Amino acid sequence: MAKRVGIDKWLFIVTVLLVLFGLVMVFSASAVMASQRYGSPYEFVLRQAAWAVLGLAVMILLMRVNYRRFNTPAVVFPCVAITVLLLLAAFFMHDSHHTHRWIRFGILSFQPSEVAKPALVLFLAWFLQDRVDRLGDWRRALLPAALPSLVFIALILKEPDLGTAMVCAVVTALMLYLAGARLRYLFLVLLAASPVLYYMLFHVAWRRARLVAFLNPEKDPRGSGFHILQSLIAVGAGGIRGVGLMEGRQKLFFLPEAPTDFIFANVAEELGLIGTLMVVGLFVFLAYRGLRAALKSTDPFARFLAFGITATIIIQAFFNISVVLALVPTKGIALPFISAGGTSLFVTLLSMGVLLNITREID
Amino acid sequence: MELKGKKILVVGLGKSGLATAIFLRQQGAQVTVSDVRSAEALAEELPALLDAGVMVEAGGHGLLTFRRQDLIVVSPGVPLSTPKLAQARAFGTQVIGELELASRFLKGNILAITGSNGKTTTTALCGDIFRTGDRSAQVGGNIGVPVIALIPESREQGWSVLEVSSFQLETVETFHPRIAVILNITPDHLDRHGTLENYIAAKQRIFANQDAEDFLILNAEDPQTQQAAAHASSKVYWFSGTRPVRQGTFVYQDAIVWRASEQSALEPVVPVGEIALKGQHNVENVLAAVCAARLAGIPAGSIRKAVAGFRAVEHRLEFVARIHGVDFYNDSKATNVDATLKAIAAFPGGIHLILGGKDKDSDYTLLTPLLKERVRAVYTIGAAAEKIERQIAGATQIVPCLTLKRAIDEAAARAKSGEIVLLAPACSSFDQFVNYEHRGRSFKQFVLARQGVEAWQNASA
Repeated sequence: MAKRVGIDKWLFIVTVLLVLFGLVMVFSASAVMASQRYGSPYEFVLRQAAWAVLGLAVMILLMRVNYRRFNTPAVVFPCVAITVLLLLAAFFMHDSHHTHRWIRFGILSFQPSEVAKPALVLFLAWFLQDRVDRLGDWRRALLPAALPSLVFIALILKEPDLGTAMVCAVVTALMLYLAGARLRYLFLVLLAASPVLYYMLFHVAWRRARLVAFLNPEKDPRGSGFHILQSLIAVGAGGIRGVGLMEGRQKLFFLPEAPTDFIFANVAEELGLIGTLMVVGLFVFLAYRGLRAALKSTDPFARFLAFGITATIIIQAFFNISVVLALVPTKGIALPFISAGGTSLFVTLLSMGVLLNITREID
Repeated sequence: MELKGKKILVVGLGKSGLATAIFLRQQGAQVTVSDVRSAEALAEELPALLDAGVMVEAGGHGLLTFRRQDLIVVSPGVPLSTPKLAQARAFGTQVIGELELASRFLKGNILAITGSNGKTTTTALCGDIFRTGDRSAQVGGNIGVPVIALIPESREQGWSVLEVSSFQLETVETFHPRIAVILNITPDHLDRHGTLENYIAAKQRIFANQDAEDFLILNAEDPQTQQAAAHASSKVYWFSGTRPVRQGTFVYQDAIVWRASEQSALEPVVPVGEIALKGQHNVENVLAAVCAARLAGIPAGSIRKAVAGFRAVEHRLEFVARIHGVDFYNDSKATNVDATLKAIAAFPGGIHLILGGKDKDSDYTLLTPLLKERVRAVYTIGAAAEKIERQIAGATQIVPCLTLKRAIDEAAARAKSGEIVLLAPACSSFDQFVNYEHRGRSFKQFVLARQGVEAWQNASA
């Protein structure tokens, strides 16, 4: 059963394509801003490229490390503990945009909440592998399974980073559901969490502003509606074939966060519907190959792990694109592989390395 | 352990007591055997013992028999709480069981299997697997041969596969199996152990002397055995019929798979469809046996071959089916009162017993005590029906049925979930059937017809 068939070449190719495409788009979206801010148009993209090289190196390394080595409390618990420590450490760092999402060491900085996602998937895969259909026992199975998620989510909410917290919550819910948790329990949790969610949405001024802006962006086009409107203008300007690579206007200080959370709007403007469909196509293909690995794997741990890794990436992509298209209120979620952001890219590639190793045993 | 010249008393003269006495004598001990049964009842065993130079006390225990002994060896059937034994222990005499004594002399590795149900099947299956895997292995204990009789043939590199009961475990001190298996723990023998806690404690003695080099195999689905894991200092492996375990064996994608550790790949051993034994409880027995065999280093190929070829011994307490929670057992081989007594003794209670056939001038009154204790109702068939009804009158409810078919129907109608319908007729079959095999197969056919299992023919073919 442990036969080595070779890694999933398609999955590998899609990953590399997404990373390369991301570098091109980050350069396109950041060149003008970088030369204004740092005096060099390459400042942003070089940093991103460095992370990409490092990430791909780690991915290729992990492709060769049997994923079963992680299937032990000696790996899982340190991962969970380190994540909690990093999340806590972020609160003692200087804040950026009035949030505590970053840890900085000199020129290096990273986001612990990005680390939380794979740590969560690893823990759940390890914990759930022999508890399938046992989650009715909430004291001995469901609660311990959900506990690290709840701690992570609470800490991430406190940063505050509602988007990442929601990704963690959805991934946890999906994995628990896959392990046979009753929908009823998951709804109960949602119900219990709804006052918190309500509070966070309506009693935090800028979130309420975003929400109002989402519902009616034209009401305040220069204020709270600005972000969404600029994003939609970019998407609309692109039309079917786009204005051409590097030719976009919206990134020229109209569209905030163009290289990061709103990079998809830049893709839409410059490459049009064709470009966006290509990106969506790559993600759909990645989802297909990843879920196929989860389905075909014969190892109970690998099934959960492959599903969790794939789900994390796809859910983020789904949320991100929905935000750009103003289908959901604005939230800070990166588009995996493509958005500028070292931690996100590195951690995503690291997860892909594990997923690719799982595919080694699958025809 | 030096036995030469020691004064040793063997209490209880069953198969195990007899073998023990002769073994001790061969070792040069001064042996006395004591049994409450009369000399007439012991007529078969007496000559061999007297020839060997063993002193025999029959028809009860003498006042001083238990005094001035260096060692007392009790047979599995004798409760430790017997006043004489309690007294002897109070005086400081060492009291051990046959299993404990034998294990001190056994060479090689021990694989010990206990549990409330499935011990015999699992033990026999393990023996088959070990032999198929080129291990020198002998099988004994509760099953057939007493452990003590395995000593001469035991080898340093070989295995002794032992079925051990909770009674035998009560009297162990240094018993140290390389691999111990607890299949399941359900309330059983509470008449003797008193409480469920005592019973569980007795079962747990199977691994009391194990160390970190040894293996303990437990049922992941049984809450009682799950708790046992916390008390073990050996490496714990699990088996489960329904979900993956972290290390051990489980059913996964229609095959029994072995997982050496969390970090090992799953190794398929036997497709479930290839298991010749029928019933979910037997899948669990196979899981436990496969786990033990893999831990002993037997390759998957040999295990698969042995499991596919292993069949329940037909007509000997053969499990047929479970219908609405009622288990049907075929013991058509029980053609005399003694065999029927043994068949009844194999179950703790709730028995619906089918008796009758061609009478062999038997004394059915011997059944009365066990009938009172364990049998809910007797269903009589065949020519001997009237005599049986007369002799066991008053012991339990009696339902005259004439035919086997009718007896099964009546028994199935009366048996509640958790109870047992047992064909152990205590008579030969020649009045209504060709032979006992024919009777047994007819029983199975009627039972399986009730269950609506058409595939049974494949099973018995």
